[in-house]
Amino acid sequence: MAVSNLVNRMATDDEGSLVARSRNGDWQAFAELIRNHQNMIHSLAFRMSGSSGDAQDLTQETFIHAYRGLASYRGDSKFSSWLYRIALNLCIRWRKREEQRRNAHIGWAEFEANQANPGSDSERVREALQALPPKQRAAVVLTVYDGMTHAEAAAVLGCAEATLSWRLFAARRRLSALLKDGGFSP
Amino acid sequence: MNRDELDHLLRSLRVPEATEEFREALPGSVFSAITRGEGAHKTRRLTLGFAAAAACGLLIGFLLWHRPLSYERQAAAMEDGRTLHDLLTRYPGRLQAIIQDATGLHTQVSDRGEVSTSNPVWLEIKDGSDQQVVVTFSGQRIRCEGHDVVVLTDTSGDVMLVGDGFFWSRGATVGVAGTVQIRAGKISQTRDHSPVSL
Repeated sequence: MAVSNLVNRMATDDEGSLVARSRNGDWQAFAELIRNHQNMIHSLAFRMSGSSGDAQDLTQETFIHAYRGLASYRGDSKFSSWLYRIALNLCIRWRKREEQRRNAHIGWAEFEANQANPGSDSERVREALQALPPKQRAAVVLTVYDGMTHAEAAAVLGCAEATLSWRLFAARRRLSALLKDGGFSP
Repeated sequence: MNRDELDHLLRSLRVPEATEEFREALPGSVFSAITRGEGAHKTRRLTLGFAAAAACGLLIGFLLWHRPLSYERQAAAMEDGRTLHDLLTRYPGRLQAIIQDATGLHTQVSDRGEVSTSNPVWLEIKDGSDQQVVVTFSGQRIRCEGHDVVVLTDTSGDVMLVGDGFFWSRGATVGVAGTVQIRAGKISQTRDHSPVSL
């Protein structure tokens, strides 16, 4: 446990140093931050957008916003949490371009085709998530996929815990309706 | 479907891993987007700067064009009737006098709409550095050098100021201090007035 804490602290210290160097214009340091967090952001972006193409664009946008906003990062939360909030806000505001909308299903079909065991549940869940309003979808992503408590998720989304709970309740009710009986009818 | 079943089903969503190509290219694409963006940002700032300068220039030009008239210009506008024309349309039948002095343009307006505007006159009163221009109508009462005077016109159109122990006309004065210079005249009502900024 003590070793684990020490490792975490070293990682945080290292991250703090990377952030400080990035602020001073050290591009290599920021590239390192990108490499350290891109998978986390990409996963979030995919769950929120339901599209590989959008997820890639959103990941890139997140790091661009983060770089430009580095001066506003005060270090009172973990860099990853700060980055996560940027990504989530971008995902909520994300407006798919028509072309991306058209290509989303093609991209997904390609992805499915490349999987060893393509599962229809996964596709149904993806479509059901996309049928939710963005803020409800964010509540599901944060609590169900990222395992945050309601309070933590509310803090990330910048809303009251009661609001988060309500969004989650509404999202679950809608998802249950969409996914029941193995069918999906948005 | 209960909550556990729903969560279990939701967790079946598989997230495709970002391709190796994307992961490797991401830092570079972010960097180029940022540098491109900064270039665009600089251009945008420059463009905005020029636009702001142009807007300021236009604003200054507009303000100069529509600037409040100087005393001399305002006095001229008073004398040739343009100011009167504008204010008469604003206060029909109620305008008693317009006074231009060092503090600006003032109006004297009656509560009742029965002021005769048939014989408009202008007066310029100078006492040392103090000066004022008054536009009023024959029969109206104004203050002149501390005296309450009535403005009158005779048949030839000459203006007279008549008050208690005070008389002024072009040819004769009574009770008017030696430092005071008065000029007066009728305002023609037939001229075509162009608007004047007040």
